[in-house]
Amino acid sequence: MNDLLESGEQTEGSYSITLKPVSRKQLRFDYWTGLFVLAGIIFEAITGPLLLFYYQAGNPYGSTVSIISTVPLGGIILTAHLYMAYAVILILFVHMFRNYFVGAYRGAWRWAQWIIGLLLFLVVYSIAIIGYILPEYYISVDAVHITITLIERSIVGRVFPALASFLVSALVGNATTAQAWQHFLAMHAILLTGLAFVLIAVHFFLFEKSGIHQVEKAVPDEKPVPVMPVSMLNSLFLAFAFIAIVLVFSALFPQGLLTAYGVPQYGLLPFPDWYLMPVYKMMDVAGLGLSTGGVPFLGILVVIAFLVPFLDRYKGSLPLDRPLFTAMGIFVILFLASMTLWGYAQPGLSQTRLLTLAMFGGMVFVSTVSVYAMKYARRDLHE
Amino acid sequence: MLGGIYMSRKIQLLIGLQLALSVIMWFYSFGVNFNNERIWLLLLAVNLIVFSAIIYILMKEFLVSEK
Repeated sequence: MNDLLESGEQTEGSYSITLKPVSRKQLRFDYWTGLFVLAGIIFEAITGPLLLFYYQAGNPYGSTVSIISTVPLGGIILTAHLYMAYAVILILFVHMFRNYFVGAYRGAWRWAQWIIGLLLFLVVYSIAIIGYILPEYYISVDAVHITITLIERSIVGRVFPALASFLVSALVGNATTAQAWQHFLAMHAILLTGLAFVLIAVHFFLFEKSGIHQVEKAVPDEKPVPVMPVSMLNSLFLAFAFIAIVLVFSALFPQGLLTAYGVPQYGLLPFPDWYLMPVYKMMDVAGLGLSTGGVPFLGILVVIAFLVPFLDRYKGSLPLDRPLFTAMGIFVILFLASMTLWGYAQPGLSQTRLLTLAMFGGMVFVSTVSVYAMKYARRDLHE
Repeated sequence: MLGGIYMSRKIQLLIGLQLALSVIMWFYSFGVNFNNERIWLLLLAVNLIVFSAIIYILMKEFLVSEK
């Protein structure tokens, strides 16, 4: 071995690991939505351990109060951690819908990237939900109760009760505050976060394998820009600018403490963070609520999302070349937006099945008719 | 030329601004308490925005030199 090294001969192997170069046209803002998500998650991974120094699972609310009121810079780090989580979820939706509408899930390995991306979406959502359980607010304990009910009364829970009780005990242990919150902390800070980073690594590897998805037709003789420094500087610029904007919001609007669990308050109606509002409002559908209708409907949406790369058989990749899938995407956006607004307007107010069905019918009508109208209008223009 | 490294006037100015902001943050940090730590965070955010502006201008200059 030493002889080989000293001889200075080049043997086979990788002497340099390079990232896939991008062209000048690909330095567009909307081509890098995934970068913002990654920057946000790295920011969370830096601020999270700082909070972990002071957070105590045995005294969740008290230690959160002490982080805000006695730890130097604790309040602003907690606020920045929370707001960056909001930003990550918001950009996650932008990233997902953008790649859905341009058909980025089509291609040799892109279908795998889409599926791993969806898994990442579910993992990040779980991390976020457990994140708002951690301070033991009123809504946190409410969320735990709802999660346990969902597990026990879902179809899976009813068919496999042993599995349901295993999942519940994995979630809350012996249901004391100390043990349940220790479990949540382990899941939030180690288990799910570790899983997310493994999935991110695979997602990124597949991205490097396929390269950036080109929306317009690729220009073949487009000269690539150097990965180092231009592409790297572009990524750093976008990441730092994004983090700076979130920090400005954290400085201007610091997070206040919510009501602790166990404090009696008249007329307090617990409702969740904005990104869970559609799920929460779906539970209000009378007779179609927790176990049989509303939440399984969301499950069906998730299953369809996983199958999208295999269902989409259209030739073109522009949105109007795939009208059915574009209409489905617009329906989901309308659904999420209207359920969120409805949830804030009438939280906890039961609604009839007929009203819900009429609303869904309207959304299906609007999304389908508008997309097909645009498709035929485009065809008539070209004729 | 600054220490043997070529820098455009714009980048020199922005680095100067960043240094000034950092010095202000340094002195401010002696008096930081629970009432004014938000101002410190705001200074940090502005500092980060200036830093990302430097990176952006650097990238543009590299792109021009590539042509």
